[in-house]
Amino acid sequence: MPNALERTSSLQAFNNEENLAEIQTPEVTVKEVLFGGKITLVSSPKVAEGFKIAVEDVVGLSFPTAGNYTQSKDGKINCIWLTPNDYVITCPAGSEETLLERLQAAISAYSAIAYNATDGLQQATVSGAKATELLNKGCALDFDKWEVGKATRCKFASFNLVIQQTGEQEFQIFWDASRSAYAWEWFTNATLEYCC
Amino acid sequence: MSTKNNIARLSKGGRIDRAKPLTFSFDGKQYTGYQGDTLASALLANGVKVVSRSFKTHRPRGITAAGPEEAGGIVQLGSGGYEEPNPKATQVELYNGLVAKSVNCWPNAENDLLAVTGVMSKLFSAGFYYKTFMWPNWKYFRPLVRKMAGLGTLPTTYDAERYEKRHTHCEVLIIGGGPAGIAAALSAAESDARVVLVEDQHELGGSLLWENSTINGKPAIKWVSEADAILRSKDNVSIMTRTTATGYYDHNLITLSERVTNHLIPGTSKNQPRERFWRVRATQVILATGSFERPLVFPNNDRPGVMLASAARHYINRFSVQPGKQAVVFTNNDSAYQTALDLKRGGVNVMAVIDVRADTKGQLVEQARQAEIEILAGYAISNVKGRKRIKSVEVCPFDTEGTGLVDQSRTIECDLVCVSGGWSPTVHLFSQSGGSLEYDDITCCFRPKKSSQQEVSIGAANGDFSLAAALQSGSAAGAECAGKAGFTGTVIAAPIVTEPHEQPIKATWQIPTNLTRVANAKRFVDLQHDVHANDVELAARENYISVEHFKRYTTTGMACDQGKTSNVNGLAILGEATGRAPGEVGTTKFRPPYTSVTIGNLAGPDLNTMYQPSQHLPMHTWHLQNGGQLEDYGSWKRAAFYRQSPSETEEQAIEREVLHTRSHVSLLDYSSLTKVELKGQDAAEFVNRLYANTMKTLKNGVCRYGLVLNEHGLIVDDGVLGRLADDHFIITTTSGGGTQLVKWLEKLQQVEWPDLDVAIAPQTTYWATLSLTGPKARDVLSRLECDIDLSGDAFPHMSVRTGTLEGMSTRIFRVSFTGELGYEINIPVSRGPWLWQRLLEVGAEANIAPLGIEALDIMRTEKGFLHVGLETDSSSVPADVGWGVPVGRKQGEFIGKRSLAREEQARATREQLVGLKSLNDEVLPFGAQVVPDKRAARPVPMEGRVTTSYYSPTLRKPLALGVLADGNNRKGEIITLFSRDKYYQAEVVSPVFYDPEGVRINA
Repeated sequence: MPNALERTSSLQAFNNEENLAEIQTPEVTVKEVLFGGKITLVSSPKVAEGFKIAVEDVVGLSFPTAGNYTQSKDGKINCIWLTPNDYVITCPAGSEETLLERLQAAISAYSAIAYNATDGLQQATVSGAKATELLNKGCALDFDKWEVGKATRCKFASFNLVIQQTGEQEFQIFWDASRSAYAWEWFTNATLEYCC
Repeated sequence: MSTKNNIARLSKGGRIDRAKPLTFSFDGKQYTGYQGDTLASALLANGVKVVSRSFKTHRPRGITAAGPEEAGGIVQLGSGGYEEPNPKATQVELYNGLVAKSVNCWPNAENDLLAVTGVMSKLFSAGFYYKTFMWPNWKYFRPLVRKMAGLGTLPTTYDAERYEKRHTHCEVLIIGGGPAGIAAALSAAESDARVVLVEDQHELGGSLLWENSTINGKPAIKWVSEADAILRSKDNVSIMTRTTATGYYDHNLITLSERVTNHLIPGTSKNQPRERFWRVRATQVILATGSFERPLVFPNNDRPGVMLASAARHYINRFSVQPGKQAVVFTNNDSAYQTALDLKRGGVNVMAVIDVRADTKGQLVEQARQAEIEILAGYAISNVKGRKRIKSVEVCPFDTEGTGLVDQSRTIECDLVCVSGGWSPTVHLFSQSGGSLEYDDITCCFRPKKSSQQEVSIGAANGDFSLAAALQSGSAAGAECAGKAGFTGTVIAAPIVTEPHEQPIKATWQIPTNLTRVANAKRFVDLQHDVHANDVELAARENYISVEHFKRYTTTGMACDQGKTSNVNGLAILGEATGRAPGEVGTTKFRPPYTSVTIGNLAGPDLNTMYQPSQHLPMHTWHLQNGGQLEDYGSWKRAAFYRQSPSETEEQAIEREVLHTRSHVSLLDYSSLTKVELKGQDAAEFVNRLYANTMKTLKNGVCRYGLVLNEHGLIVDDGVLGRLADDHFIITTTSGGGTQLVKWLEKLQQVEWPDLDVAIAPQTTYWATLSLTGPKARDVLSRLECDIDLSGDAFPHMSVRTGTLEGMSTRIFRVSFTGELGYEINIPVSRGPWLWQRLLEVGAEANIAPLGIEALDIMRTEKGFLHVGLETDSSSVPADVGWGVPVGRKQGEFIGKRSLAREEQARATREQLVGLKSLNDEVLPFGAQVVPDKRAARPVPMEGRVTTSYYSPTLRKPLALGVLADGNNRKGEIITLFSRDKYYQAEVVSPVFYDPEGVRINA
């Protein structure tokens, strides 16, 4: 089986010496999360009773109880609510395939699909004093009213972004990997004013 | 340096930093100003009177105002990548090295040779271009008119500056940092509400910066500084200076234009944007936008040296500049007396106050008299003498009825005329918000009547022009809005001010025109677009009496000042001409932006590669490094073809790729192919309703081509459906149509068929799709470690298998768009580059080569495969493309079924897909129309068209696909085609030119 080095990040063209894409300024940092484990879970709106329990048994945490929120387990496994039938489960890099196999087995009888989003959903961390300011260059969300655990999928600049708040001024962001060239150019340009 | 520098500057005073002199140039001459100056104040300080030339007739124009209402002082700023056309000199903050030049003149504003057009001024009446240049055609005149008229010129190089955009939220947004806005902010800030105070200038204060008022017994500017310090100490308050609110939209969305580094030397602000475009969403909005002074309309009122009375106060008080040496003040209200007094204090010789009111009295009048300023009550200016500079004015008394002037003129020498026709609340944003206006007969202005959003107008913006009213309404509004936003507001007691009591204004718009000796003099209403009172009256005579029609016919208020000083005078004169009061005429609709906004500000960073973001394939880098010529296919960057050597032409490369695929094996990055997974107990029913042909009977592991229709039975997409299990399907469809298809699926699930139990998961970009195609495709794929039986019997054409490939989970479709044996290999996207390289390695012996999109399209044309969007248009139904029978046989419901039963959709003579064989070995042009014959009478009926046409490298001849009326029954017929003045002949044949038996694809 190919090892991790044989995988190509969608941000590879922007890599630094550590083989990571990173934009670092005194006030805000955007840093690639390389192949952070991600599973997308989609169910039918009419999915049968028992589906959620089957998922929770495998993942080890319950579904978010409110829309646009994250349910976390030790900060390692997170279930991000995107729509009532659409979730992203994040997990430590490398653990996603095992988790996915177990999840697919658990939901095989249900009208639901789980698939590996690790590669297709590019992840990065935005952190620093100007993190929300930077994000507000691309979207209209009112981050003053956010708290750790809040998450949403939104139009951001000219693409779509999933934003999850993980700290006071720290966010995980996820986007379609095919848009990475644009996304990184956008973040590079948007952080320019913090570089001086 | 010229010794004349700052000849009109007072030795002290003003809000300028005399320790920071700045050098600038205007029309090639060097001048100096000071930090804190605007370009306008610096020009006036240096005695520059003529700043630009007028729009149509090139009359000399000077500075007329001190803010965004400026109508005359338009300049061209900077050069190269920093050039900006049409900023108003009154809004340009001076910086060292600033370069400005006049507009609409040659060689310069002072000596403009184009002023010769002035002799033709009688031609340029309202609507002249609709009337004057009708024969032979406007297009012959347009280039000359465009060259001779207009203002600034477009820069010829790209803008070198950066621009940004940002969103923000607040509970209380206060627009205007004058006394009312500051008072509102102080009250609102006492709550926990987020308060944003927006001010157009670089410092707070508004009118207090130039009015010499006192608050709490101290200079008002001291109160401003204290308030500024208080507000900046609050965590919940943001003060945005150099920021203009430009638009007010639904749901309290306000747009702002922040000038971040415009006031600095261009190119020196490392990494900082020049401007920032803001979208603010506010719970409550307070409009403290102040008011504009109106001019009066009288003969030659456009001469350099005629300016608003308030502007003169600006220059003398704020910038310590004498706008003239000898002034005449012309007014219909008391406020201009303050100007006379301030000018007098600033050393200007105030020759007289000309007041149209016969019974002048009150505190300000008395102060003027005490200052030994002559007051001519019941008088008006009947003419202004001088061309580039005012030499004198003629004044005449009103007759006893007050409706005409008595020809008893008196000449007063002066070089400055300060005019005040009253004040108009700045209601632009209020009107944009949807609020309604009403005309106030007492204050002679349009003021807010009823808000339509969570907004309140205060102070002068609400028609309350006194300082005390501004402060009191501000304090109350700040607390009230915080309260409405859900916070506890506190009314901060308004400070004490002492103001002179003002006498009522007299409604005056145009000075009576009964004096025949000045009957031909121009009386300007709109200085920027050269509209004068005669134009307004002409419009009325020609029945353009609706204010919106009048505006467009005369172009009043349509220049970059947007009529801030002209609109009310214009509509009032229109009212006089049509016997209506201003309130009956009404105003035109105020639209964003409130003042000029640069294109860069609106565009922000969304330029060049960031204008329309493209999607990259997983093997994007490989394509770039290996001769791939990337082009846009929808939002995707895909290799059109691969150039093997610099000398290889596009045609050669495409032909090589076709022949290579037909004889060997090729590899195509097909990752953009749309992929949607469906699973659920009703998944089979869902796809069966989705496609026009039967899908329910599909066996597990089998694929089927299908057409997707809309409700009208028209083809909107096509693709291949694969069944993985009884309840599990994969839809693959066109790259370009994927987004629409996914939206369609979601709509069907959520709106049309919520009863169906199915999960839908779009997965296009989660999988890299590598298409291996050609007679040696199986041979190459077999060289990889794969647990799927690839033999033709076990894995036939139109089937799908899941398994592992080189240890990776994979889905392999055996499908083909080339007509050759083909596999579409799907693996996790990050593994794509590795597998691509691996296939090239193991395929080297089979001479594997990359394949581009153009060769693929030729091969699908040779095979007669449909390309939705080329062979179909928005009127095509399945029968048009040879799918009438399978769709007609389908049992059960599907989208579009009922529409297909309509007579028109079933008409046998519709345009149908055919192959076309060129008779003279010429490639038929794309889009060539099928016509009856060369001699057909006009209008020639169109019987069809060429939809795709190529020279086939495989068959060594041209071939084409097309649609032809009754095409199914015209096989073998010779048809005539026409394109670009040339006729062609072709034989109607089957659309399948290559391997019609399907031997190769089923290998």
